[in-house]
Amino acid sequence: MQTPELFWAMGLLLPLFMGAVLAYVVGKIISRTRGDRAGGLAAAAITLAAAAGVYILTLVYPHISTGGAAAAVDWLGVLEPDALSLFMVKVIFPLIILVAIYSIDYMKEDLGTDKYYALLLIMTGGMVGVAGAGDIVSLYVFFEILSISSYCLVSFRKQSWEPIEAGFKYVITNALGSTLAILGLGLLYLFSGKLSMAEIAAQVSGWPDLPVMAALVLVITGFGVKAAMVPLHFWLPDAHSAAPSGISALLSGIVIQVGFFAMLRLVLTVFAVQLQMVGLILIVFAAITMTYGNYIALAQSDIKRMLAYSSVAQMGYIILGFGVGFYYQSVNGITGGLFHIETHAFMKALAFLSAGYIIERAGTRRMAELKGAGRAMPLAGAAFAVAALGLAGIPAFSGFMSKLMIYKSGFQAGTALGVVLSSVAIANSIISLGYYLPAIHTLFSPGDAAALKQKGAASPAAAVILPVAAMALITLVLGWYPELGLGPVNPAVAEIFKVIGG
Amino acid sequence: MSDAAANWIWVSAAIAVIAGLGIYGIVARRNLFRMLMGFTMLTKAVTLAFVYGGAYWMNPGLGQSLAIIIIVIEAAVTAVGMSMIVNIYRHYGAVDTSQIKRLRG
Amino acid sequence: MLVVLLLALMALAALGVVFSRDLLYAVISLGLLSVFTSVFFYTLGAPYASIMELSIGAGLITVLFMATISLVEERQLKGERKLKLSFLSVAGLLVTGAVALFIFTALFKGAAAEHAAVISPGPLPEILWGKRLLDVLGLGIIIFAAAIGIGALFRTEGEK
Repeated sequence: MQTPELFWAMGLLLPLFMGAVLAYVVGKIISRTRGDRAGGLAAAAITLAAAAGVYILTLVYPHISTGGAAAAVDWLGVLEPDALSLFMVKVIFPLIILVAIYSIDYMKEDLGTDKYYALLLIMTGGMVGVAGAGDIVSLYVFFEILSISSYCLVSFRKQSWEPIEAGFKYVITNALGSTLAILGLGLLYLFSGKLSMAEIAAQVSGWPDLPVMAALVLVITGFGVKAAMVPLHFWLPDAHSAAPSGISALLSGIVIQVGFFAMLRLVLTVFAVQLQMVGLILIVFAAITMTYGNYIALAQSDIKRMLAYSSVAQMGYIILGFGVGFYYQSVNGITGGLFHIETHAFMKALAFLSAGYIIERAGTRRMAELKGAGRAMPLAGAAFAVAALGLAGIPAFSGFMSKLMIYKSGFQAGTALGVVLSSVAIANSIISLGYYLPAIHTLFSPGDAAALKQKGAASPAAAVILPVAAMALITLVLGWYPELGLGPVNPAVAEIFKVIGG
Repeated sequence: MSDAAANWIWVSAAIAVIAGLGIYGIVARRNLFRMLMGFTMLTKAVTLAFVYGGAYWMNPGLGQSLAIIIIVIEAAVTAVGMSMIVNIYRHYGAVDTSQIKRLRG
Repeated sequence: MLVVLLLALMALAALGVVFSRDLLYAVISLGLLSVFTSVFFYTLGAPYASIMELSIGAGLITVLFMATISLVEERQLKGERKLKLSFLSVAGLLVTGAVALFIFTALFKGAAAEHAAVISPGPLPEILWGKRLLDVLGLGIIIFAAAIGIGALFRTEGEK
């Protein structure tokens, strides 16, 4: 593992993809001989082993964060992992591992889960590849690996109409998004004749050129679809609520953030000259995104749709952090944005996992029919309450700490715009209480608890308790000791400030 | 064909037309197949940009390799989309968005 | 001249894909678009991309569409509304085209004179298996993922 590139390819990508092939093949063989459930379990075990092993490897080899010598091997040149990539990986892996554990119990009724786990690992590999890509075509290839596996995972439960219809919507909008982005990159290639992000960056200094502008618009639109920025978010509530809950947790928790990360990568390298303007664009999108997301979430009667719209709103916070960071060269903005990616990943996954458990037992997603479900299933109810309070940004939960940094960045900017932005963000937090508190109240109000209790009688399996408890613990601990979570964030911020140069 | 590179205005126009029609197909047409074809056309415009860019910047090998990568991805996404259409058809007996739209978006 | 003719044919085929009344004609137009694109690639000195476009674009994808449509076909084709070429949509398309043309014109301003095309196949295998090896392996993963995913979408064990 001499260079970061080699480490990324051999240490991370190779085991993940080989693990996927292995999980599928072994799962298939065992399900032929010992039945489908055993095959799924074997695939889950391989998935967990691969993800956990690779995660431990990233923790043991911290030197890749500093960046070693340039790659000696030619074909590794397409990877350029840095501290930012490492940050993403440190968020991705715990989430994937916890969701994989959760899926063991959650997906036990489904058949053909060997495919589910293989796709899960491929999806992970795609995300890791996007995090480490240093070349526009590799970025696209890995993004498509991520996209194709998530398309199939969204409509995995093809027996009912909703996952299928949402799945097609997801395919067509996201394929359009990534193709628009690559069209923008194709434009850049036509314009500059270069492919590596750094080389293009050297060429693109001749701003403001019309073609560069067009490319920027295409790239922001394309990845904006992936990141669910508001006029382009319409696929998200369907896809995220129709998917199996474990997959919803991943989609909301990390996949849309990876979409934003890809945009960030391009903006930071190719369009670095005009970072301030990009910052302004992001700020406008962010304010619209968070307000609209919260506003629509208020009206939802379906618990998963509510959480999905809340993801749109939370993306607004993340984008706002980066927008303010770019526009005012604010350290707090960038740190807050990155930290919010981290805290939100666990909070939102926790919300989806606990809600998924409740939904599975109660057999309904309608809020009104879930009355008293928290009393019948106190553990899941409490976990959902922790997640909802964290997402609303109540002090003592991790969401507050990351949002606080974003608020601070706006106030520290010292301009009217900054103050307005922070006020909008704070107001949004208060609006979001308007749907989180009623949701918690509904879950714990005395309702038809007897019937629910009958359905949810069995105590939750260890495979459910472990991931949910771990995520709740992370949410609570980061609320008191944010510096624990800032460990991987700070080097990434330093990496970004090499470009911003503030 | 050394004048191939001099035809950039026409090539650019063709890229713009094909990409524009592709987007129009995805956004405005109601038939699911038609939407998928729109996506296919859009990727065709992208490959055109890369191959022409490769020829133009005297690096035809690079442009072609990118085009090949994009064509393969296009085929994979189309196949996945197609299997979803078949699933939709099994459920609804229809492939037109006006007849299947139940999600509010 | 051949190039302009080819490009015009491509644009026509693209129009056919979006605006033809029958879905089958749309597929045929899509295939034709692929064929024209492939020929154009060949004239650009890109034989590898050309053969790829011909086999996958015109071959595989067209066959896929044909097969799936014939699977689904019948009443649906009548359900396809006739396109009303309203003034607004035509104007919108024209404006989009003009803007795009303008952008592209700006794109190549001045650059056209400096560079002449070099027509040679280029060291494609070296590039694909050298610098872009990781992407090629990524393509393998994509095909694998698509295969598993389609398998999952059509799995019969899941039916209850």
